[in-house]
Amino acid sequence: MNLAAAAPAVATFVAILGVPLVVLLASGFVDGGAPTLRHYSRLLGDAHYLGVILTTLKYGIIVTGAALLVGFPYAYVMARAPLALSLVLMLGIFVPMTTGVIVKAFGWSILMKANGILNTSLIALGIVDRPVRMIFTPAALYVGSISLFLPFMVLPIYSVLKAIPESILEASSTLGASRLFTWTHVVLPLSLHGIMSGIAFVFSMTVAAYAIPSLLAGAQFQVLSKVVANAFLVTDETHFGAAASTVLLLIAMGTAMLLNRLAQHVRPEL
Amino acid sequence: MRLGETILAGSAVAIALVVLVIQLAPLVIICAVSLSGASTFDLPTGSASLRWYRVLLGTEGLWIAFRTSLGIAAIATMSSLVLGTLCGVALFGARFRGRELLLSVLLSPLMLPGIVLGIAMLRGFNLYGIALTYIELVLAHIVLTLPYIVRIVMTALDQFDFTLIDAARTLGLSYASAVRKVLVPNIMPAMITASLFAFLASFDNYAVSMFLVDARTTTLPIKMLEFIEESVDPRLAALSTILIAMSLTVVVFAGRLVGLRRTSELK
Repeated sequence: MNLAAAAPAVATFVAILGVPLVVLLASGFVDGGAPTLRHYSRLLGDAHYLGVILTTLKYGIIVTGAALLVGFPYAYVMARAPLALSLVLMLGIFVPMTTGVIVKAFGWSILMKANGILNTSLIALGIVDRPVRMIFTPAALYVGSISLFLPFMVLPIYSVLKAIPESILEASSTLGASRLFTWTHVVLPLSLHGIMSGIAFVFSMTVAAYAIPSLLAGAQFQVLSKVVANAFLVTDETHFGAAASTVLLLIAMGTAMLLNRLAQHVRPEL
Repeated sequence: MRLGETILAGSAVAIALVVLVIQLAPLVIICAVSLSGASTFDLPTGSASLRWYRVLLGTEGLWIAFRTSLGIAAIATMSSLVLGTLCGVALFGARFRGRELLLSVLLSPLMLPGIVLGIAMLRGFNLYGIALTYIELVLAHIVLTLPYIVRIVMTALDQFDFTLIDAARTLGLSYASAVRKVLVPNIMPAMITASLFAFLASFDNYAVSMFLVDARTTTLPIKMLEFIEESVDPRLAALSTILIAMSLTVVVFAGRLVGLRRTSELK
């Protein structure tokens, strides 16, 4: 097949996204026609914005860590369980994944309202005696975000776990290895590649998330994506917004690329 | 099995089941609330009612946005399917410096912050003097859906046994008809699945569309958010139920077509 067949897609991509993205990011280094790092020093030298960046990183790390903690067992059970359970677990990944973020956030807010179903059930069960504030709290944001990004942790881990042949595990135990040894020396190294792509996916998606922090945490929870949106949509400081976009891009893509690079190295030979 | 292992395996299953409930809870609650006859977000008490589905049918604004989203997702997916298949097939066989880089650039919209993509594309359209919202949305959504197609075409080709083409030619088929009768049917299920996922990604997109819509041309997720912020009644639950049913249909269909196991690798 002629390489020219790739041209229309590449040209569309470059024109619609490539060139505008480069122009946008470049504008973060310009002020009044002269090159400057002013926007970066404003972003990185100000306690408020530094706090926002730290919040963003913390948000990304906690969500990624929690997603790994629950995502690995989920993927493991999905890969090893009997077909019926495995299929149900897959539906629990694919259906939420293909449902829009607005619909899911809407579902969470119905659940978490002061007089919503969760609170009414908690009171009925006698666990609390008055409604707990849930929506617009960090807890709501974290539960919602972990749930939102979980599929992107589970799927890569599931595919590496599924690819480990039973024969290897049997060989390991035939050779006298304990279950624990098989786990730490066979299963874990063989699934490291999937774990790392899961981490890369979830972290880069979480730090860049815009809709879910706005919908579940409210205005007081400031993350970098909101600084970007605010600069373009509210205060019209486009050069500053471009600088913030570059930092956001570096955090999201930088981590993902670094982890993917590492994952290439740990890719096992089967 | 020793006790420790049983406890570990048991807790893995327990975690999986709890997570499953948490994953499905917001969707199930929406479906339940949509059947409530009351104007609050309560579980239906007594008999289920289709009241909010009838109200939804009469809500002009949401249907207009629904049709807009449907049209944009359909046009963008079909364009991506043509562009992405050509591109995937061309790049699959090619060996040149920078191939990997080109591929990761083409796939990057899957990972790049949606909001940065949206702003960049908006300013690009201003730069080029494109001022028609509908066209802007279609073009932006082509860029967003292209990675799904390219990636899946390449995965499918990777799993295709090219000696089958030689076999078909030995049996007397021309190269073109060997491709049409052997290669195409082989990668078709993956392509249909790719299109379905691409379609949903476009249909549900919020972060990019947010920058491109205007008062007259709005997509469904943006319109829904307006409704959530203004009037809160269960008609949105009725609409969301329809969208959840769409996802469920796609997932079951994809599972039938290529098996969910393979779908998880395609995604």
